[in-house]
Amino acid sequence: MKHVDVAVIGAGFAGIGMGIRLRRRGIRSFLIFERADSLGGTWRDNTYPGVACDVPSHLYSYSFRPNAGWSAFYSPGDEIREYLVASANDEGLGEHLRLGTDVLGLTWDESAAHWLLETSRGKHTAGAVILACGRLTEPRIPDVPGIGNFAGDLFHSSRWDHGLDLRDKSVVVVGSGASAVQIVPRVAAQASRLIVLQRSAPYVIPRAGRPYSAAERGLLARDAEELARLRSQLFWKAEEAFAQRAGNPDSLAMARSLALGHLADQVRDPHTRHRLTPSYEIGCKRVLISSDYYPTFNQDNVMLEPSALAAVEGNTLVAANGARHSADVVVLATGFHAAEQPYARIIRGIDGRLLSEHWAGGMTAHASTVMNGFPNLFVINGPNAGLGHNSAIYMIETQIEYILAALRHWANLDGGVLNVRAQAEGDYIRMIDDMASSTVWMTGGCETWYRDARNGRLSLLWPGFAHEFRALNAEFLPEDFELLPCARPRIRAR
Amino acid sequence: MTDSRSDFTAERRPVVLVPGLSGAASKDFSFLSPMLARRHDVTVVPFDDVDASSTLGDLADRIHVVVERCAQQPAVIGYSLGAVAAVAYAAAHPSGASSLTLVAGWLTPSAKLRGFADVWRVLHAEGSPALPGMAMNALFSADGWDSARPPLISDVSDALTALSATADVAALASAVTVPVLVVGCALDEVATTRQSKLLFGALANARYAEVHSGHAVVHERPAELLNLINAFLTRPALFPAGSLILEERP
Repeated sequence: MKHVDVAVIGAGFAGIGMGIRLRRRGIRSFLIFERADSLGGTWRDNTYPGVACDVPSHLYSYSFRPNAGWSAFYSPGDEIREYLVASANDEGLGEHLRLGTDVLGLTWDESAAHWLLETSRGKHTAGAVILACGRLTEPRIPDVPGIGNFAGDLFHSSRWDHGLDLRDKSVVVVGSGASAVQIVPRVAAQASRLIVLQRSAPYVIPRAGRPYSAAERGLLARDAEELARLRSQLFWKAEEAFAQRAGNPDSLAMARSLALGHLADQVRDPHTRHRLTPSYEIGCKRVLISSDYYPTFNQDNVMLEPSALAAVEGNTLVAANGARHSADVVVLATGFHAAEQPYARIIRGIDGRLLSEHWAGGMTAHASTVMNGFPNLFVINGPNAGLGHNSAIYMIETQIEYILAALRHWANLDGGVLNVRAQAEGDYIRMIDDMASSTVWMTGGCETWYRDARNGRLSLLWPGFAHEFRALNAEFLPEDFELLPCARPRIRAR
Repeated sequence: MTDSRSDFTAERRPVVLVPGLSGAASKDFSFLSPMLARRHDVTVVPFDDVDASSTLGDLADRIHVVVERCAQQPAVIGYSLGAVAAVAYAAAHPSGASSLTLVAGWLTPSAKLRGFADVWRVLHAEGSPALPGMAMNALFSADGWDSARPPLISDVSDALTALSATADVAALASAVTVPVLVVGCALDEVATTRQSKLLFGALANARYAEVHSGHAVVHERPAELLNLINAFLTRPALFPAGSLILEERP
């Protein structure tokens, strides 16, 4: 059984970034466990036609690995995956990666004061564990009668069947969220007939994407200051959109007008336009960015069914409004299990308590990163660490810095492991709830995966500006933690 | 820059906003005012009815009236001419404000500022259609052009523009003792970056931060400005007097 100072679970943006920062600190005793056979997280799993990022490329990348060569303002998915693979290779993560290794159980061993990892390829122990599992990894399959017996081809958007030719096929896309708006125009160009099942209409704003010219890429490659300035400009521009989420009436009115004007400009039929008009406040659900989604509904072979999927009977999909549509192929663009992360059911902390029990009232963590009763365990991109208006990478990097500071503090102790105080976690949660109360996610009148369905708490998103998250959580404060006894750790301080 | 968790839940403290050439907070602080109001009690000094006979001292008196109504010492935040008026106010009432934030302000009107005021006056008197475009060109930077819009003539006060050409606080600066954050704009061709830096040089208890923006920073980079202001309001002394605050790179 091999012991490492630090185990990282997941090799997407968070796990690779964490690994790079650990190595740059001179820490070598760590492993990154990844259940898939390659790295890349979301950008490995999602390969559907049209997959692309809706955060500008120069912002949706590591600040410590700027990439002058992004091909376009918004990157296609495969380019982001290649960036992650190159980042891991260039930074020497190969020796730390354990691909094809599923972590099946993670248990705190109180007597040894370390974590026991049971994986599909044997056991390991680790002094500290970092959960970098992402939040959009477990496909959410609608729990409707007959879905397992569909007579044709049926798959989730993140498990795209590239062997399937959609030409002359009748296709149903279930869902109208961030994946669907990218998939629908591509499928509509191939399928003989496309029906989109829409449970609730999204707000869609124009996508001002464009390729970067050779001159722009050349300049950014030659002048690092230009690149840094561009990133700053993109970041602070994106920050302005939080004013909408904060419920500022003027900002909301401008955003609503932009989205509804986009709809009016792009969809000819008033009846279809009406069906594509959201019934809740803008920003309550994710605001989507597309300039080719709406025009798809002007095509003769495309139909919008404004209802959720209720059942599957043979090759017929039954909508909640009673409509029935036969299909050769069904694409489930139905999102992911976000509010309840499956990994919480395999993690046992002090006294064998499951993380899913700790999170029974919705995900919570002090500094959005550490949980009472789970010593030396850190979660990136977990509770209240997501954004509805800016780049997830900025949040991930903030959490990485927090974790590095915690590890440094731990390494300098004479002994002991770090257990965040229940009081600190409780105070943080109350602050989150207070900040969230006036945001559009709580007041906008929508059903959203940002909130936990069990109690309505905003458990996924950070209810503030991204820069406020960093101002609040960049600094590791030892007084928030109690020390549990153990021998001096072997990690070397840097 | 770091905030403590208690800063997010602490008692709301008063903030007084002093507008620039528009004279109206709804125009100059359309982003900042509601966002600051999430954590502070925000009051605005109205300058929109200032006439041609007004002096810098009159503007300072208006700030004094608003500050006096606050339950406790407020932080005063001035933009453009409002920043200059805030200096004049703090010199006359050293214990009035708890701190000053001076955004795109100046110590002495630069030649470019006087030139802007001259061109404004002439084009406005002629009823020239070139006036909004001229103002947009002067107030916004090339890098902030995406946020630029030609100002409505009604958005800029003739009286305040004329007053800006003579608003000089060089002789008053030594009387200001409260903590000051000077925010200069790296691409400011109206107030000019140098004049903002001279405020930093002249005010004993000042620290300096710079935003990559033109004079219209409240429209070009309002979120970055909010970050600077919030950090300063939370811990005015985090950066000692005389500090150059490095830009935060996201």
